[in-house]
Amino acid sequence: MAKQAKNLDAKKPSSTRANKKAKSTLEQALFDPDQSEQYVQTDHENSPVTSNTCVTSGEMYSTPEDAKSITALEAAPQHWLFVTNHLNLLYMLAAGMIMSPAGFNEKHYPDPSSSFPGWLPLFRGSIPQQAIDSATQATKYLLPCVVAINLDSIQAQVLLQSRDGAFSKCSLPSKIDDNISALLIRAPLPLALIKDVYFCSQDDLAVCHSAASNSANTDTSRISFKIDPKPFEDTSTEPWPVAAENMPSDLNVKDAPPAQGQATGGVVAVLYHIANRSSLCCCAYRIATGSANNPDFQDICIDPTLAHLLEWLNTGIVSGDATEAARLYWDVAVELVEAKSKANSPKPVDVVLAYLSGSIPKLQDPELKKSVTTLYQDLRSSFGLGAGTISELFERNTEPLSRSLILLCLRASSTDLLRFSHASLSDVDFILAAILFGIRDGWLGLPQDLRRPNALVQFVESRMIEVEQRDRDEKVISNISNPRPVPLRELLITRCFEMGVARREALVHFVQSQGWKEAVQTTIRLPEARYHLIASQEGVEIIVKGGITSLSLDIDLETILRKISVWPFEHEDEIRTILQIE
Amino acid sequence: MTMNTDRSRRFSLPGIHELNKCQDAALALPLEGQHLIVGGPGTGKSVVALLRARRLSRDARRYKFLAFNSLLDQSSQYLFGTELPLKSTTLEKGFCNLWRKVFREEVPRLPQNQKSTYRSIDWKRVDNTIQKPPSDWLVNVRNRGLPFLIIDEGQDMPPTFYRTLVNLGFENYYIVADQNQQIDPDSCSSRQDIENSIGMESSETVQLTTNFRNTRPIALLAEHFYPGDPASPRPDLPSENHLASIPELWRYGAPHLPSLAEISELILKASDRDPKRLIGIITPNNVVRTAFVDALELSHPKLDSEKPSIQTYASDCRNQLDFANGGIMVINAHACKGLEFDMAVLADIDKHQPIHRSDDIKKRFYVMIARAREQVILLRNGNDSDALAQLLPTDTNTLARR
Repeated sequence: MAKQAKNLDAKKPSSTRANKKAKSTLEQALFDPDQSEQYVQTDHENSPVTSNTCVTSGEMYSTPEDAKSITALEAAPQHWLFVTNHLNLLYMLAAGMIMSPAGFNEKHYPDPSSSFPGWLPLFRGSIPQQAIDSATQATKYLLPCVVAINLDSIQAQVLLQSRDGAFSKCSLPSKIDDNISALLIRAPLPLALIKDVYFCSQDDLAVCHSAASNSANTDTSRISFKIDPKPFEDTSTEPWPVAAENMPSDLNVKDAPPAQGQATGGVVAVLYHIANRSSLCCCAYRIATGSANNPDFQDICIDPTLAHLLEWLNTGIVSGDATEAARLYWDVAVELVEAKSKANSPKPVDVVLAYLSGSIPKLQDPELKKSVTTLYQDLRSSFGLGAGTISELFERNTEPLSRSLILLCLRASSTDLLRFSHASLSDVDFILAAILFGIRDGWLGLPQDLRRPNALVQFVESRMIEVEQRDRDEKVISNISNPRPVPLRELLITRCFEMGVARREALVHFVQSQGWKEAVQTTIRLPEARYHLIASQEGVEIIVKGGITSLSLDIDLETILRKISVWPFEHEDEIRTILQIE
Repeated sequence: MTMNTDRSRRFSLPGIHELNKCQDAALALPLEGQHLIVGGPGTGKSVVALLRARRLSRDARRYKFLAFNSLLDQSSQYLFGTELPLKSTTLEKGFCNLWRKVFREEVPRLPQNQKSTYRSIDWKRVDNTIQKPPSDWLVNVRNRGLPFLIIDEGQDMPPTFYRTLVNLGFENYYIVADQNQQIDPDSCSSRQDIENSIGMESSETVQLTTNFRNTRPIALLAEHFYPGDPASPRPDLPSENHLASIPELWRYGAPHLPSLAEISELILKASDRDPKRLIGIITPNNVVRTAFVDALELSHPKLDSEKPSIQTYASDCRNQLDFANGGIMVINAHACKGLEFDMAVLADIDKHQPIHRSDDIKKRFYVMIARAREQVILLRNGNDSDALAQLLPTDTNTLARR
């Protein structure tokens, strides 16, 4: 995906070549006489559509050869308008994506996208009044808003609706004629495409901000809000939506909740926040963000369950060559994601219990069967008065699968996991637990403490869209590239090997200010000679005539890594700043 | 001790996905005007009331949050968060302070009864007095205006309370109520009483129906005791889930049964499994309350963390309770209304006295059970009462016997 995006970003000649290539592929797809005749109509030349007609970008060509003769399709600025209400907008900000109704878990208030489940209708110029009205009809306290979206960076197959209600296909980036009043693009889209959000009045905007302050995960600070009554007043009388008989069959797509994307977002975020804990945790994060190297893959394979992390991230399932225990763990993960895609989803704890209960009879390995049976009974008891302390539970349940599930059932939030420590908990146990917590919470449900820093937010938002688009034949590809945030641990290891004097001194100063004595070692080299050593209760004094020839301060990286492994680490920003010093 | 002990129950705003459309409607109500929100236990009434207080606070509007009792007042303070102090008091204290300000005398009270030193407000005399408020007060109201009122558990004050507020010039109300949780029906208000008193149409009342707090098994058990008054909407049962922890009935104190010491040990270990967890032991009277406090304090099982704090509340002591940290709270049933616990242990259930209306003990159990988010444990201590046995569900999928 990244490679394709880079090509798009290249200079014009390459872009033109790429577009020409894309066009011929598109011609192939579009040169279907049935489809062309079915819904491509235009009064552009007052000529009927024929089977030899190739339609691209809303332009008409009488023969494919004519299409090929067009040398440049300059992508005109693609600014479109998405109409919704303030509560839907806030929900989308929390979810990290512009979604269609299924993504709202029954909290969607009808808006123009309700007419085309799975698609996002975008307008330009005058918005149909009926479209604006539809965004606030459900209840009197909804306020309309218009979201200006920039599609410049998007590659996608879209559907165009002309002013007379006809539909045609188009491949972005492309020039789109003025007679096109609406564009339908598959949901979801990245929030990064939002240019501005318009409200009709200052009062309306104030209500939106007030509603945002009622919840923890509606951060409006990244959005540019504007007041302009024009989009709400200078509307058109075009009907919205168009009559059902005019709608093409391409519009019938499955509108599913973005459960896999949200789960991936949650997992990436939680793995980022545990990355400072250890080398293996950092490795798991690199694998989750597609930046792992060979040693990482070797390291992760020390555990047969963790070895399938990349496969799950890439496909959402784990293949049959996994061990029975590994498959059980990843099947629980799949069940948790599936549960989230249902309305009124059951509680995650209940999903886990139900799955374990159903799996026990089918397990082949008698040892595994015994341990999962013990686990199931202990989990049930832990909700009442029966089970013992966590140490007692861990003594009876020693497998990483068991411990990760125990933690999932006994700790309500991902921050509780990050703050948890236990002498017998291994890195593998912890990483497996972190993955389940990330899935359980999803990006939407993550505590605010974990929905930062900004670099993580942007990376996760683009990653979630990639995951949601992954299994589609026609993807929406954004060439906005957000680099993964680098964990402090990784930065320290990289930057400490090549440390200039200024950076070393700054780091030493910081370490000393924190009182981390064991993190700094001072070496004094003296030539062979006689020295006067005075020892007292206050310490040792060496009197050297003529001065010291060599004094060096060495940072003990392992100590610093140990200090930063506790979450949250309060001085992360300070150390990052120091590591920028040359 | 092998684990770090962080018991802090940090307050956090709900996520937007955790507020349902009914709550959105309640939150979107205009600041000005008369508003009533009704809903059963666990439907998020207190959450919307506190969010309303935050909104008024942010907008620098004068308001007063009136909680049912001192415990609920303390709990509301914790839920409100620490950035802005909640301007709150209890319903009765707030009313008495207001009366003193207006009439320059103490609110009329009934003679004390034999059982306690407490004297109830004489609402009849209040009703007679309030027909003509002092003119200087009304002038004062015209000049300075009056604060917004947010009233939690509004069903627990009589119609005279509301008539008084109206007569004194209060105009802006945000009342949350559930008439199925009335403690004393003789001195409470129905939904219609409140609507009539503050002058609003029934169609304007917002109804909250989704049960957020309880798991399905807990909701099923609470429903077994549900009084069934249609004026307050029945909370929707949480989604189908037959594997979540089923409420448990334990017997102790007799031969071959666990002792109180063993039960205490189990409760301490339950707390230790999650130090942030708040376990509420709800007792029928002070004797049982004291017995449990003593047993818990004397018990020292091997735990992973430091022993949790054991707090108790006595109405005559009015001590402060800490809701900001996990641990164990032992309180009497009449004080538990509106509170929320991760686990609720209903101790010595046979010792609850039936009072003159047979529905009242069922209401009490309904209220107690609905305090719990994750689990309910019922304890019977020998001397089983036949009357109570008849009230308990026989289906072991609703109440498991241990």
